[in-house]
Amino acid sequence: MTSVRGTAVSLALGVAALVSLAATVGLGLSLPTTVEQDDYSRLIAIHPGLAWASYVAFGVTALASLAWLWPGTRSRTADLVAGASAEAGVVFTALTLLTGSIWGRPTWGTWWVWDARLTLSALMLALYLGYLALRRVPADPDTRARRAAVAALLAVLVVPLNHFAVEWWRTLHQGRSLQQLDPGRSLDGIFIGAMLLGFLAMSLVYAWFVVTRLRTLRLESELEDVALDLALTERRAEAVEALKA
Amino acid sequence: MTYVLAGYGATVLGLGSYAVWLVRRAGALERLQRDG
Repeated sequence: MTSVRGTAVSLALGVAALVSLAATVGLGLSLPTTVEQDDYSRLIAIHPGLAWASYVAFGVTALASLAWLWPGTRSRTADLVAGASAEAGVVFTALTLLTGSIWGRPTWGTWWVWDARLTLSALMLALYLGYLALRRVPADPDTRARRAAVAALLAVLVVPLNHFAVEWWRTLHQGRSLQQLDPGRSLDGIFIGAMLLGFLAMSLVYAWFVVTRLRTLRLESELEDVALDLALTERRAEAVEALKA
Repeated sequence: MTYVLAGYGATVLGLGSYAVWLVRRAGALERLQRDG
C-alpha cells in the first residue's frame, strides 16, 4: 500500500525547492534597473525559468508515455508519471503566459500579441489541458493510458516548435535569452546568474510537484482498485442471493 | 515596480496554490486510506 507521508527525499526536495525559489525571488527583485527595460528586466529571474520547467515537464510526459507504450518498460508508474508531469507542466505554462503578459504590457505596450512564440505557448497550454481532460475520460486503465500516451507524443511536437519560434519566425518576443546576454559584461553576468538560479529553482519545484502528485495518483489508483473489488464482491453476493430466492 | 511585483506575486501565488492543493489532497487520501 502506498504511503502518502512524505519520504525523506521528497521532504529534502521540498525544502530545496522552497529555499531556491526564495533565493530567486530575492535576487530577482534586487537586480539593477536597465536602460532598455528599466526595472521590468527583473522578471528575467522567473519568466524564462517557468518556460524551461514547462518544456521539461512535457518532455518527461512524452518520455514516460513512450516507456508505457514500449512493452518492455510498460508499467502503471510510467503512466502516472506522464500524468503528474503534464499537470505540473500546465501550471508552469499558465504562469509563463501570465508573467509574460505582465512583462509585455509595459515593454511592448500590450498584454498580448499573436506572434509565433506567444501563440504556440497558448496552443501548448490548450493541448495539455486537452491531454489532462482525456485522462479523465472513463475507461479501463490500460485503454486510458494508451490514449493518453499517444496524445502526449503528438502534443510534445509543439515544444520544439515553440522553443525555436523566435528564430524561425519574425516575432515580437525576444530571441533566446542565453544567446543574447554577454557573460563578459558584468551587468549581463548578474542577469544570467539570476536567470540560471530561476532555472534551478523551477526545476526543483517541478520535481517536488511530480514526486508529490505521483504519490497521490498512486494512492488514488489503489483506492480505485479497492472500490472496484468491493463493488464486484457486492454484485456477486447479490447474484447469489437472487439465485437462492 | 508594480508590474514586477505583480509578476513575482503571480508566480509565488500560482506555485504556492498548487503546492497547497497537493498537500491537502495527500492528506485527504491518507485519511481515506487509514479509515478504509
